[in-house]
Amino acid sequence: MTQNDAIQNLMQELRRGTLVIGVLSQLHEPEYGYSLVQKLNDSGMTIDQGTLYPLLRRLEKQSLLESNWEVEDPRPRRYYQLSVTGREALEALKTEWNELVKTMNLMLSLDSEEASK
Amino acid sequence: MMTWMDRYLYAVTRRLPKSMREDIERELRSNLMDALEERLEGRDATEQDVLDLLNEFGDPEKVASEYMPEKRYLIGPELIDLYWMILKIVGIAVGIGLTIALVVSALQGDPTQKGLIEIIIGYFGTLWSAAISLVGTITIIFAVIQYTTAGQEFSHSKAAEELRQAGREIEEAFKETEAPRTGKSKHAKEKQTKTWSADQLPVVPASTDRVSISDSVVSLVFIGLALLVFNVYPDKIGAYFFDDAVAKWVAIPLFNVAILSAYVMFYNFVWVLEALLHVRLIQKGRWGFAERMVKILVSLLGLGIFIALIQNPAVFNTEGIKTALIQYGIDLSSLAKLGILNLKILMVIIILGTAVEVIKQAYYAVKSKVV
Repeated sequence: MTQNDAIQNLMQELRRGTLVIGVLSQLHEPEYGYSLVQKLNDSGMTIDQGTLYPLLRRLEKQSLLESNWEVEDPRPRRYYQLSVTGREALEALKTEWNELVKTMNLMLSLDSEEASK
Repeated sequence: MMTWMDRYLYAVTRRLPKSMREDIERELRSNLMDALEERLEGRDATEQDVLDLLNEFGDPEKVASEYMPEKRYLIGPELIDLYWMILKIVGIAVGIGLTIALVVSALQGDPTQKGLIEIIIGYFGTLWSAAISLVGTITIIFAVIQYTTAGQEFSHSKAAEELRQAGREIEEAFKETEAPRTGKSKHAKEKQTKTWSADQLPVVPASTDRVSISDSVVSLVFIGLALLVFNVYPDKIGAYFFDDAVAKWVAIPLFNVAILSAYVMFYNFVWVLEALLHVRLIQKGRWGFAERMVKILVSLLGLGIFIALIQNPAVFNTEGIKTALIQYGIDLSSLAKLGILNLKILMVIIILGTAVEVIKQAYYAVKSKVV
Protein backbone atom coordinates (compact mmCIF):
# COMPACT_ATOMS: atom_id res chain seq x y z
CA MET A 1 0.00 0.00 0.00
CA THR A 2 1.42 3.35 -0.96
CA GLN A 3 1.37 6.36 1.34
CA ASN A 4 -1.37 7.88 -0.76
CA ASP A 5 -3.59 4.81 -0.51
CA ALA A 6 -3.17 4.82 3.24
CA ILE A 7 -4.32 8.44 3.41
CA GLN A 8 -7.26 7.66 1.13
CA ASN A 9 -8.22 4.79 3.41
CA LEU A 10 -8.14 6.97 6.48
CA MET A 11 -10.36 9.55 4.84
CA GLN A 12 -12.78 6.90 3.70
CA GLU A 13 -13.00 5.48 7.19
CA LEU A 14 -13.67 8.93 8.58
CA ARG A 15 -16.48 9.51 6.08
CA ARG A 16 -17.95 6.09 6.67
CA GLY A 17 -18.49 6.94 10.28
CA THR A 18 -20.73 9.84 9.33
CA LEU A 19 -22.93 7.86 6.92
CA VAL A 20 -25.56 6.72 9.40
CA ILE A 21 -26.16 10.12 10.94
CA GLY A 22 -26.28 11.69 7.47
CA VAL A 23 -28.79 9.17 6.16
CA LEU A 24 -31.00 9.30 9.24
CA SER A 25 -31.10 13.10 9.12
CA GLN A 26 -32.62 13.00 5.61
CA LEU A 27 -35.41 10.56 6.38
CA HIS A 28 -37.94 12.57 8.37
CA GLU A 29 -40.01 12.34 5.17
CA PRO A 30 -40.29 9.06 3.25
CA GLU A 31 -37.70 8.61 0.48
CA TYR A 32 -36.97 5.77 -1.91
CA GLY A 33 -33.46 4.60 -2.64
CA TYR A 34 -32.58 6.70 -5.63
CA SER A 35 -34.30 9.85 -4.40
CA LEU A 36 -32.28 9.61 -1.21
CA VAL A 37 -29.04 9.27 -3.18
CA GLN A 38 -29.86 12.52 -4.96
CA LYS A 39 -30.87 14.25 -1.78
CA LEU A 40 -27.60 13.27 -0.13
CA ASN A 41 -25.62 14.27 -3.22
CA ASP A 42 -27.33 17.66 -3.33
CA SER A 43 -26.34 18.20 0.30
CA GLY A 44 -22.73 17.36 -0.58
CA MET A 45 -22.54 13.85 0.86
CA THR A 46 -21.36 11.44 -1.83
CA ILE A 47 -22.24 7.83 -1.21
CA ASP A 48 -22.10 4.76 -3.48
CA GLN A 49 -25.52 3.35 -4.22
CA GLY A 50 -24.09 -0.07 -3.57
CA THR A 51 -23.31 1.10 -0.05
CA LEU A 52 -26.47 3.07 0.63
CA TYR A 53 -29.10 0.47 -0.22
CA PRO A 54 -27.69 -2.24 2.01
CA LEU A 55 -27.25 0.37 4.73
CA LEU A 56 -30.95 1.25 4.53
CA ARG A 57 -31.88 -2.38 5.03
CA ARG A 58 -29.56 -2.73 7.99
CA LEU A 59 -31.02 0.36 9.61
CA GLU A 60 -34.47 -1.06 9.06
CA LYS A 61 -33.44 -4.32 10.64
CA GLN A 62 -32.24 -2.35 13.65
CA SER A 63 -35.72 -0.77 13.80
CA LEU A 64 -34.36 2.71 13.13
CA LEU A 65 -36.23 2.93 9.83
CA GLU A 66 -39.58 1.74 8.56
CA SER A 67 -40.25 0.85 4.94
CA ASN A 68 -43.09 0.00 2.65
CA TRP A 69 -43.60 -0.63 -1.02
CA GLU A 70 -45.60 1.96 -2.92
CA VAL A 71 -47.08 0.85 -6.20
CA GLU A 72 -46.71 3.86 -8.44
CA ASP A 73 -45.82 4.83 -11.96
CA PRO A 74 -43.45 4.00 -13.59
CA ARG A 75 -42.46 1.27 -11.11
CA PRO A 76 -43.05 0.16 -7.52
CA ARG A 77 -40.65 1.72 -5.03
CA ARG A 78 -39.69 1.02 -1.49
CA TYR A 79 -39.97 4.07 0.73
CA TYR A 80 -37.96 4.44 3.92
CA GLN A 81 -38.73 6.73 6.83
CA LEU A 82 -37.49 7.28 10.40
CA SER A 83 -39.23 5.19 13.03
CA VAL A 84 -39.82 6.46 16.56
CA THR A 85 -36.67 4.69 17.67
CA GLY A 86 -34.88 6.16 14.70
CA ARG A 87 -35.86 9.68 15.71
CA GLU A 88 -34.54 9.10 19.21
CA ALA A 89 -31.34 7.64 17.81
CA LEU A 90 -30.91 10.63 15.53
CA GLU A 91 -31.29 13.05 18.45
CA ALA A 92 -28.67 11.14 20.45
CA LEU A 93 -26.33 11.04 17.46
CA LYS A 94 -26.76 14.78 16.89
CA THR A 95 -25.79 15.59 20.46
CA GLU A 96 -22.77 13.31 20.18
CA TRP A 97 -21.81 14.84 16.85
CA ASN A 98 -21.96 18.39 18.17
CA GLU A 99 -19.74 17.43 21.10
CA LEU A 100 -17.29 15.78 18.74
CA VAL A 101 -17.17 18.81 16.47
CA LYS A 102 -16.51 21.07 19.46
CA THR A 103 -13.71 18.86 20.75
CA MET A 104 -12.15 18.32 17.36
CA ASN A 105 -12.29 22.00 16.44
CA LEU A 106 -10.59 22.89 19.67
CA MET A 107 -7.91 20.27 19.19
CA LEU A 108 -7.33 21.13 15.56
CA SER A 109 -7.13 24.88 16.19
CA LEU A 110 -4.55 24.24 18.91
CA ASP A 111 -2.72 22.10 16.39
CA SER A 112 -2.68 24.88 13.80
CA GLU A 113 -1.29 27.25 16.42
CA GLU A 114 1.43 24.75 17.19
CA ALA A 115 2.17 24.31 13.52
CA SER A 116 2.39 28.02 12.81
CA LYS A 117 4.92 28.57 15.60
CA MET B 1 -29.84 -4.90 -23.20
CA MET B 2 -31.82 -5.55 -20.07
CA THR B 3 -30.08 -8.89 -19.81
CA TRP B 4 -27.04 -7.02 -18.48
CA MET B 5 -29.12 -5.79 -15.62
CA ASP B 6 -30.53 -9.29 -15.05
CA ARG B 7 -27.04 -10.68 -15.01
CA TYR B 8 -25.92 -8.06 -12.56
CA LEU B 9 -28.86 -8.65 -10.24
CA TYR B 10 -28.23 -12.37 -10.41
CA ALA B 11 -24.55 -11.88 -9.65
CA VAL B 12 -25.47 -9.93 -6.53
CA THR B 13 -28.35 -12.01 -5.25
CA ARG B 14 -26.84 -15.45 -5.80
CA ARG B 15 -24.35 -14.55 -3.07
CA LEU B 16 -27.15 -13.79 -0.61
CA PRO B 17 -29.22 -16.11 1.57
CA LYS B 18 -32.30 -17.42 -0.26
CA SER B 19 -34.72 -15.70 2.08
CA MET B 20 -33.36 -12.26 1.16
CA ARG B 21 -32.93 -12.71 -2.59
CA GLU B 22 -36.30 -11.89 -4.03
CA ASP B 23 -36.85 -8.79 -1.96
CA ILE B 24 -33.40 -7.38 -2.58
CA GLU B 25 -33.60 -8.07 -6.30
CA ARG B 26 -36.91 -6.22 -6.53
CA GLU B 27 -35.59 -3.24 -4.64
CA LEU B 28 -32.26 -3.10 -6.45
CA ARG B 29 -33.97 -3.34 -9.83
CA SER B 30 -36.27 -0.51 -8.94
CA ASN B 31 -33.35 1.64 -7.83
CA LEU B 32 -31.24 0.77 -10.86
CA MET B 33 -34.11 1.68 -13.16
CA ASP B 34 -34.47 5.02 -11.42
CA ALA B 35 -30.77 5.68 -11.81
CA LEU B 36 -30.84 4.65 -15.45
CA GLU B 37 -33.79 6.91 -16.21
CA GLU B 38 -31.99 9.79 -14.56
CA ARG B 39 -28.92 9.45 -16.74
CA LEU B 40 -30.94 9.03 -19.96
CA GLU B 41 -32.82 12.32 -19.59
CA GLY B 42 -35.67 11.14 -21.79
CA ARG B 43 -33.87 9.32 -24.61
CA ASP B 44 -33.90 5.53 -25.07
CA ALA B 45 -31.34 3.47 -23.25
CA THR B 46 -28.45 1.88 -25.14
CA GLU B 47 -26.46 -1.12 -24.08
CA GLN B 48 -23.57 1.17 -23.18
CA ASP B 49 -25.80 3.20 -20.86
CA VAL B 50 -26.67 0.12 -18.87
CA LEU B 51 -23.06 -1.07 -18.75
CA ASP B 52 -21.89 2.35 -17.57
CA LEU B 53 -24.52 2.37 -14.88
CA LEU B 54 -23.56 -1.08 -13.65
CA ASN B 55 -19.87 -0.22 -13.68
CA GLU B 56 -20.60 2.78 -11.57
CA PHE B 57 -22.65 0.67 -9.20
CA GLY B 58 -19.66 -1.55 -8.55
CA ASP B 59 -18.51 -5.11 -8.10
CA PRO B 60 -21.49 -7.41 -7.37
CA GLU B 61 -19.44 -9.29 -4.82
CA LYS B 62 -18.82 -6.10 -2.88
CA VAL B 63 -22.47 -5.04 -3.10
CA ALA B 64 -23.56 -8.49 -1.91
CA SER B 65 -21.16 -8.38 1.00
CA GLU B 66 -22.67 -5.03 2.04
CA TYR B 67 -26.03 -6.77 2.23
CA MET B 68 -24.78 -9.61 4.35
CA PRO B 69 -25.85 -9.02 7.92
CA GLU B 70 -22.78 -10.61 9.42
CA LYS B 71 -19.64 -12.24 8.25
CA ARG B 72 -20.29 -15.88 7.56
CA TYR B 73 -18.43 -18.52 9.50
CA LEU B 74 -18.67 -22.25 9.73
CA ILE B 75 -17.61 -21.81 13.32
CA GLY B 76 -17.63 -18.21 14.45
CA PRO B 77 -15.05 -16.41 16.58
CA GLU B 78 -17.31 -16.73 19.61
CA LEU B 79 -17.19 -20.53 19.43
CA ILE B 80 -13.79 -21.28 17.96
CA ASP B 81 -11.81 -21.40 21.23
CA LEU B 82 -14.26 -23.84 22.72
CA TYR B 83 -14.15 -25.91 19.54
CA TRP B 84 -10.38 -26.30 19.64
CA MET B 85 -10.40 -27.10 23.33
CA ILE B 86 -12.94 -29.89 22.95
CA LEU B 87 -11.19 -31.24 19.87
CA LYS B 88 -7.90 -31.44 21.76
CA ILE B 89 -9.29 -33.11 24.86
CA VAL B 90 -11.35 -35.69 22.98
CA GLY B 91 -8.53 -36.30 20.52
CA ILE B 92 -5.99 -37.05 23.23
CA ALA B 93 -8.40 -39.39 25.02
CA VAL B 94 -9.26 -41.36 21.89
CA GLY B 95 -5.61 -41.51 20.78
CA ILE B 96 -4.54 -43.01 24.09
CA GLY B 97 -7.48 -45.40 24.05
CA LEU B 98 -6.71 -46.72 20.60
CA THR B 99 -3.03 -47.07 21.41
CA ILE B 100 -3.87 -49.22 24.41
CA ALA B 101 -6.23 -51.27 22.25
CA LEU B 102 -3.38 -51.78 19.78
CA VAL B 103 -0.97 -52.94 22.46
CA VAL B 104 -3.58 -55.30 23.88
CA SER B 105 -4.40 -56.91 20.56
CA ALA B 106 -0.72 -57.15 19.61
CA LEU B 107 0.06 -58.94 22.87
CA GLN B 108 -2.94 -61.16 22.54
CA GLY B 109 -1.97 -62.39 19.13
CA ASP B 110 -4.59 -61.88 16.52
CA PRO B 111 -6.64 -65.01 15.72
CA THR B 112 -6.26 -64.38 12.01
CA GLN B 113 -2.48 -64.66 12.48
CA LYS B 114 -1.78 -61.20 11.22
CA GLY B 115 1.77 -60.03 11.53
CA LEU B 116 2.86 -57.12 13.68
CA ILE B 117 3.20 -54.86 10.66
CA GLU B 118 -0.33 -55.56 9.56
CA ILE B 119 -1.58 -54.80 13.06
CA ILE B 120 0.30 -51.51 13.08
CA ILE B 121 -1.03 -50.58 9.64
CA GLY B 122 -4.49 -51.49 10.87
CA TYR B 123 -3.89 -49.29 13.90
CA PHE B 124 -3.11 -46.25 11.78
CA GLY B 125 -6.13 -47.01 9.65
CA THR B 126 -8.33 -47.09 12.73
CA LEU B 127 -6.66 -43.97 14.10
CA TRP B 128 -7.26 -42.15 10.84
CA SER B 129 -10.92 -43.09 10.56
CA ALA B 130 -11.44 -42.33 14.25
CA ALA B 131 -9.82 -38.91 13.73
CA ILE B 132 -11.99 -38.18 10.70
CA SER B 133 -15.23 -39.15 12.40
CA LEU B 134 -14.21 -37.33 15.58
CA VAL B 135 -13.32 -34.07 13.86
CA GLY B 136 -16.34 -34.42 11.58
CA THR B 137 -18.83 -35.00 14.37
CA ILE B 138 -17.55 -32.20 16.56
CA THR B 139 -17.40 -29.83 13.59
CA ILE B 140 -20.96 -30.66 12.57
CA ILE B 141 -22.22 -30.09 16.11
CA PHE B 142 -20.52 -26.70 16.24
CA ALA B 143 -21.67 -25.74 12.76
CA VAL B 144 -25.25 -26.57 13.74
CA ILE B 145 -24.91 -24.42 16.84
CA GLN B 146 -23.51 -21.65 14.66
CA TYR B 147 -26.20 -21.78 11.99
CA THR B 148 -29.53 -22.76 13.47
CA THR B 149 -31.75 -20.16 15.01
CA ALA B 150 -31.58 -21.99 18.28
CA GLY B 151 -27.84 -22.01 17.86
CA GLN B 152 -27.79 -18.28 17.19
CA GLU B 153 -29.79 -17.72 20.33
CA PHE B 154 -27.55 -20.12 22.16
CA SER B 155 -24.45 -18.33 21.00
CA HIS B 156 -25.82 -15.09 22.44
CA SER B 157 -27.07 -16.69 25.64
CA LYS B 158 -25.49 -16.51 29.05
CA ALA B 159 -24.59 -20.18 29.02
CA ALA B 160 -22.66 -19.75 25.80
CA GLU B 161 -20.95 -16.67 27.15
CA GLU B 162 -19.84 -18.73 30.14
CA LEU B 163 -18.58 -21.46 27.83
CA ARG B 164 -16.70 -18.93 25.76
CA GLN B 165 -15.23 -17.43 28.86
CA ALA B 166 -14.16 -20.91 29.87
CA GLY B 167 -12.55 -21.40 26.49
CA ARG B 168 -10.66 -18.14 26.85
CA GLU B 169 -9.55 -18.98 30.36
CA ILE B 170 -8.35 -22.40 29.35
CA GLU B 171 -6.48 -20.97 26.42
CA GLU B 172 -4.84 -18.42 28.64
CA ALA B 173 -4.04 -21.02 31.25
CA PHE B 174 -2.29 -23.03 28.56
CA LYS B 175 -0.50 -19.92 27.41
CA GLU B 176 0.60 -19.14 30.91
CA THR B 177 2.05 -22.58 31.31
CA GLU B 178 3.79 -22.23 27.99
CA ALA B 179 4.91 -18.68 28.52
CA PRO B 180 8.03 -19.34 30.58
CA ARG B 181 9.27 -21.74 27.93
CA THR B 182 8.40 -19.96 24.72
CA GLY B 183 8.31 -16.50 26.23
CA LYS B 184 5.24 -15.32 24.34
CA SER B 185 1.58 -14.93 25.11
CA LYS B 186 0.80 -12.33 22.53
CA HIS B 187 -2.81 -13.04 21.59
CA ALA B 188 -4.04 -13.45 25.13
CA LYS B 189 -4.64 -9.75 25.70
CA GLU B 190 -5.87 -8.86 22.22
CA LYS B 191 -8.79 -11.25 22.50
CA GLN B 192 -10.31 -9.50 25.47
CA THR B 193 -12.51 -7.15 23.52
CA LYS B 194 -15.69 -8.00 25.45
CA THR B 195 -17.08 -5.33 27.71
CA TRP B 196 -15.01 -5.53 30.79
CA SER B 197 -15.17 -3.71 34.03
CA ALA B 198 -12.73 -3.84 36.89
CA ASP B 199 -15.47 -4.40 39.46
CA GLN B 200 -16.20 -7.74 37.82
CA LEU B 201 -12.79 -9.09 38.73
CA PRO B 202 -13.24 -12.26 40.79
CA VAL B 203 -11.57 -12.63 44.16
CA VAL B 204 -8.23 -14.41 44.11
CA PRO B 205 -9.10 -17.95 45.25
CA ALA B 206 -7.53 -19.35 48.41
CA SER B 207 -4.83 -21.85 47.50
CA THR B 208 -7.04 -24.76 48.58
CA ASP B 209 -9.81 -23.52 46.29
CA ARG B 210 -7.65 -23.20 43.21
CA VAL B 211 -8.28 -25.67 40.45
CA SER B 212 -5.30 -27.33 38.90
CA ILE B 213 -6.22 -27.28 35.24
CA SER B 214 -3.73 -29.99 34.36
CA ASP B 215 -5.24 -32.27 37.03
CA SER B 216 -8.69 -31.74 35.63
CA VAL B 217 -7.58 -32.32 32.05
CA VAL B 218 -5.78 -35.52 33.09
CA SER B 219 -8.93 -36.63 34.93
CA LEU B 220 -10.99 -35.94 31.82
CA VAL B 221 -8.62 -38.02 29.73
CA PHE B 222 -8.81 -40.94 32.15
CA ILE B 223 -12.58 -40.70 32.41
CA GLY B 224 -12.73 -40.82 28.61
CA LEU B 225 -10.44 -43.88 28.67
CA ALA B 226 -12.54 -45.61 31.31
CA LEU B 227 -15.69 -44.95 29.33
CA LEU B 228 -14.02 -46.35 26.22
CA VAL B 229 -12.46 -49.43 27.79
CA PHE B 230 -15.37 -50.49 30.01
CA ASN B 231 -18.02 -49.87 27.37
CA VAL B 232 -16.26 -50.99 24.21
CA TYR B 233 -13.50 -53.37 25.28
CA PRO B 234 -14.56 -54.84 28.65
CA ASP B 235 -13.39 -58.27 27.50
CA LYS B 236 -9.82 -56.99 27.08
CA ILE B 237 -9.41 -56.29 30.77
CA GLY B 238 -7.60 -59.27 32.22
CA ALA B 239 -4.36 -61.11 32.70
CA TYR B 240 -1.99 -61.60 29.78
CA PHE B 241 0.80 -64.12 29.67
CA PHE B 242 2.88 -65.93 27.13
CA ASP B 243 2.06 -69.59 26.60
CA ASP B 244 5.26 -71.40 25.64
CA ALA B 245 3.39 -74.50 24.45
CA VAL B 246 1.59 -72.72 21.63
CA ALA B 247 4.03 -69.78 21.48
CA LYS B 248 1.28 -67.21 21.79
CA TRP B 249 0.06 -64.56 24.14
CA VAL B 250 -2.97 -65.77 26.06
CA ALA B 251 -5.55 -63.54 27.70
CA ILE B 252 -7.74 -64.46 30.62
CA PRO B 253 -10.53 -61.93 30.89
CA LEU B 254 -10.97 -60.75 34.44
CA PHE B 255 -14.67 -60.04 34.18
CA ASN B 256 -17.82 -61.78 33.18
CA VAL B 257 -18.75 -59.15 30.64
CA ALA B 258 -22.52 -59.78 30.67
CA ILE B 259 -22.80 -59.24 34.42
CA LEU B 260 -20.24 -56.45 34.47
CA SER B 261 -22.23 -54.38 31.97
CA ALA B 262 -24.98 -53.75 34.54
CA TYR B 263 -22.43 -52.14 36.87
CA VAL B 264 -20.81 -50.27 34.00
CA MET B 265 -24.12 -48.54 33.39
CA PHE B 266 -24.02 -47.08 36.88
CA TYR B 267 -20.34 -46.25 36.52
CA ASN B 268 -21.08 -44.44 33.26
CA PHE B 269 -23.41 -42.14 35.15
CA VAL B 270 -20.76 -41.44 37.78
CA TRP B 271 -18.05 -40.89 35.17
CA VAL B 272 -20.13 -38.52 33.09
CA LEU B 273 -21.06 -36.60 36.23
CA GLU B 274 -17.42 -36.40 37.20
CA ALA B 275 -16.43 -35.29 33.69
CA LEU B 276 -19.03 -32.51 33.85
CA LEU B 277 -17.63 -31.51 37.23
CA HIS B 278 -14.14 -31.21 35.76
CA VAL B 279 -15.37 -29.19 32.81
CA ARG B 280 -17.11 -26.90 35.28
CA LEU B 281 -13.94 -26.64 37.38
CA ILE B 282 -11.80 -25.77 34.37
CA GLN B 283 -14.35 -23.18 33.40
CA LYS B 284 -14.70 -21.62 36.85
CA GLY B 285 -11.10 -21.98 37.96
CA ARG B 286 -12.03 -22.51 41.59
CA TRP B 287 -13.71 -24.99 43.87
CA GLY B 288 -16.99 -23.71 45.20
CA PHE B 289 -19.50 -25.19 47.61
CA ALA B 290 -21.58 -26.80 44.85
CA GLU B 291 -18.54 -28.34 43.17
CA ARG B 292 -17.39 -29.86 46.45
CA MET B 293 -20.86 -31.30 47.06
CA VAL B 294 -20.87 -32.88 43.59
CA LYS B 295 -17.39 -34.29 44.23
CA ILE B 296 -18.60 -35.86 47.49
CA LEU B 297 -21.62 -37.31 45.70
CA VAL B 298 -19.48 -38.73 42.91
CA SER B 299 -17.02 -40.26 45.39
CA LEU B 300 -19.74 -41.92 47.45
CA LEU B 301 -21.61 -43.21 44.40
CA GLY B 302 -18.40 -44.61 42.94
CA LEU B 303 -17.58 -46.33 46.23
CA GLY B 304 -21.09 -47.75 46.52
CA ILE B 305 -20.95 -49.28 43.06
CA PHE B 306 -17.48 -50.63 43.74
CA ILE B 307 -18.57 -52.37 46.95
CA ALA B 308 -21.63 -53.83 45.25
CA LEU B 309 -19.45 -55.07 42.41
CA ILE B 310 -16.84 -56.65 44.68
CA GLN B 311 -19.50 -58.51 46.62
CA ASN B 312 -20.99 -60.14 43.55
CA PRO B 313 -18.72 -63.08 42.66
CA ALA B 314 -20.58 -63.58 39.38
CA VAL B 315 -19.00 -60.39 38.06
CA PHE B 316 -15.66 -62.13 37.78
CA ASN B 317 -14.82 -64.64 35.14
CA THR B 318 -14.33 -67.29 37.85
CA GLU B 319 -14.73 -70.31 35.61
CA GLY B 320 -12.39 -69.03 32.95
CA ILE B 321 -9.75 -68.12 35.48
CA LYS B 322 -10.03 -71.49 37.24
CA THR B 323 -9.74 -73.45 34.02
CA ALA B 324 -6.74 -71.47 32.94
CA LEU B 325 -5.05 -71.87 36.28
CA ILE B 326 -5.60 -75.63 36.28
CA GLN B 327 -4.39 -75.84 32.72
CA TYR B 328 -1.15 -74.12 33.59
CA GLY B 329 -0.74 -76.11 36.78
CA ILE B 330 -0.78 -73.23 39.17
CA ASP B 331 -1.67 -74.07 42.75
CA LEU B 332 -5.25 -73.00 42.92
CA SER B 333 -5.89 -72.75 46.62
CA SER B 334 -2.97 -70.48 47.45
CA LEU B 335 -3.71 -68.24 44.51
CA ALA B 336 -7.40 -67.98 45.39
CA LYS B 337 -6.48 -66.90 48.91
CA LEU B 338 -4.11 -64.34 47.49
CA GLY B 339 -6.81 -63.05 45.17
CA ILE B 340 -9.34 -62.66 47.94
CA LEU B 341 -6.73 -61.03 50.17
CA ASN B 342 -5.82 -58.63 47.38
CA LEU B 343 -9.45 -57.71 46.82
CA LYS B 344 -9.88 -57.02 50.51
CA ILE B 345 -6.78 -54.85 50.62
CA LEU B 346 -7.94 -53.02 47.49
CA MET B 347 -11.35 -52.45 49.06
CA VAL B 348 -9.85 -51.03 52.25
CA ILE B 349 -7.59 -48.72 50.24
CA ILE B 350 -10.48 -47.48 48.13
CA ILE B 351 -12.76 -46.96 51.13
CA LEU B 352 -10.01 -45.09 52.98
CA GLY B 353 -9.18 -43.01 49.92
CA THR B 354 -12.82 -42.09 49.39
CA ALA B 355 -13.25 -41.27 53.08
CA VAL B 356 -10.25 -38.92 52.99
CA GLU B 357 -11.56 -37.24 49.82
CA VAL B 358 -15.08 -36.83 51.24
CA ILE B 359 -13.86 -35.46 54.58
CA LYS B 360 -11.46 -33.09 52.82
CA GLN B 361 -14.18 -31.78 50.51
CA ALA B 362 -16.70 -31.47 53.34
CA TYR B 363 -14.17 -29.60 55.48
CA TYR B 364 -13.37 -27.05 52.76
CA ALA B 365 -17.05 -26.76 51.82
CA VAL B 366 -18.02 -25.90 55.40
CA LYS B 367 -15.05 -23.56 55.68
CA SER B 368 -16.04 -21.70 52.51
CA LYS B 369 -19.54 -21.19 53.94
CA VAL B 370 -18.25 -19.98 57.31
CA VAL B 371 -15.72 -17.47 56.00
